[in-house]
Amino acid sequence: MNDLYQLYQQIIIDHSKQRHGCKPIKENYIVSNQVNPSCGDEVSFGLIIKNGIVDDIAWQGQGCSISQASISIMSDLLLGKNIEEVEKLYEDFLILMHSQGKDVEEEILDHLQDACALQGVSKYPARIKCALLGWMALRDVLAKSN
Amino acid sequence: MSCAEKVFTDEQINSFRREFPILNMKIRDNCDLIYMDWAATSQKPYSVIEAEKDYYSSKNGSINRGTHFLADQATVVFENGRRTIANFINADFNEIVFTMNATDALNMVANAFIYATLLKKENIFTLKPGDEIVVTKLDHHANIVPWQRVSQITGAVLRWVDINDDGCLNYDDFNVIGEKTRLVAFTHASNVTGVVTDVDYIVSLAKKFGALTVLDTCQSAPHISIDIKKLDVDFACFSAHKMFGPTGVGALYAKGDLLDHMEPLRVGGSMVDFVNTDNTSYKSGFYRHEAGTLMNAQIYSWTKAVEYLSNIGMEKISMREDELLTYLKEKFEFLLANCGIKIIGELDDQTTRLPVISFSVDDVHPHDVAQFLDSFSIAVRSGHHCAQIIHKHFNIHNSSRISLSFLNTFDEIDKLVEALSKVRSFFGVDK
Repeated sequence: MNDLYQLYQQIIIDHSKQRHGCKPIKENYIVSNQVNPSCGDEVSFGLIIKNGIVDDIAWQGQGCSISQASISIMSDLLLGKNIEEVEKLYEDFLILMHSQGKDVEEEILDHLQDACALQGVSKYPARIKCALLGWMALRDVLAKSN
Repeated sequence: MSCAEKVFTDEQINSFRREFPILNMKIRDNCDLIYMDWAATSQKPYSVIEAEKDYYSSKNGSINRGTHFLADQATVVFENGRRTIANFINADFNEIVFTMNATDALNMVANAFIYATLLKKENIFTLKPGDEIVVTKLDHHANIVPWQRVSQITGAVLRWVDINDDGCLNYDDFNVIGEKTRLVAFTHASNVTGVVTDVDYIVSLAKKFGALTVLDTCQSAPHISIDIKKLDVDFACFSAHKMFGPTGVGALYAKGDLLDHMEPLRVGGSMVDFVNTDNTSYKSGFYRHEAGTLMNAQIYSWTKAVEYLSNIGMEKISMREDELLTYLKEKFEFLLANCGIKIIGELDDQTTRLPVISFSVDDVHPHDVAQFLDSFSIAVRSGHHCAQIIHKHFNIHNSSRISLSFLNTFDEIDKLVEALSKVRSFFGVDK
């Protein structure tokens, strides 16, 4: 049961319900649509980038609490960051996801802030895709914006 | 439930369970595993596990390829394997082809149609544009996607049998079977709703119009006695790992001499009579469809799985599972009424069904449900269970699925229900 509470920390359950950044996506956003076919979880994720800074985020989606919380947490993290910082956040989140429950450098954990709450996911291979759904959309949006 | 009514005593069930190493595992926080994902894959008794080791330790030789001691040993084991599988389903020895799994078996039949059509063979497997293949929305992808490919390549048209809201096939839709129908492909039992199909009804319609029938027995074979002659289908696929056997092997049943008329899916060694630079002739019968070296060790351990089931008796296994399902249904009434849980389909008493229940929990995603149950060491499946079409019918993407075997216990069902009663509260969605 301890592992379950570690996976589903209150912050994750809260974020999965609050869905920060979830709002209709208007035309001027760079958008990526991602689906996890094995479960039907999906996200449409959009960014507005002005002068190399994330100016606004909008997303729509549905899925398990891990996937939705991850997108919500990610949205909070990205707002106001420049592209280089965003890319670093993406890399760090991948490291966290692939850590298999082992320790991760303090520097990375500090950088990821609330996203650290998802560290428990790394112990459950089947859920890593859930946590990464929004971040895959982010990667796609960054590629499109170049 | 009083002891007098049960087909097995608790002691007998515990004795069976002790033969399964995985069922005696402690997992997560040193808890007993409660395995309720039998429809995905079955656990194995020692006799099946040991058989593979035994094969490699004392019987591993080339089949039909030598006259030395080991070759004889291996060949006897191999032929005995085919005989055992055939007897289990009341088929003839020469009607069984060993395949990689059930999906492979279905692909073999599909490819027979494709190759016959492309090679213009002018036999029962040749299709022309406008010919019809009947498929159902209840089926697993393995018994849908190959026919979609056949349709795409040959121009044959798929006609769909729909599902009713109770999770059963809409039998009226089988009236699409007619002069143009060449094949009817359907499941013996649903891996989502557990309903068992009325095979006689469909086969009699198909025979009226000379259409071939293909039956998916993946879910039914581990739970109910199969008499393939009585079912009178033309083809059936079998999966070893679903029925207490190893992964990597399955079988195709093909009635009479159908195998002789099918173009093989795989060609190469073993399945040829003569090979020349100019032309090559294929064998007939099951040899025609078994190219290369097969999964001999797994065939041997599958034999042991079938012996295991036969020794206990499929009738008793079915009765035990009916007892479990009745109990599960009773306990589920509370969950349905009070805990925001909905079944995919309905749990009426009229339809014959396997102990398989797929369900959704209000405001909690199936992944989260399954994760929550996992923390109680309860293993269920979440997702679409390789059956996206039936989920679409019920306007959902996915569900959680409980699937039992005769080895589950009433106590395990109690623990499942208790855990499920708490899931919405854990995720803070019970208002």
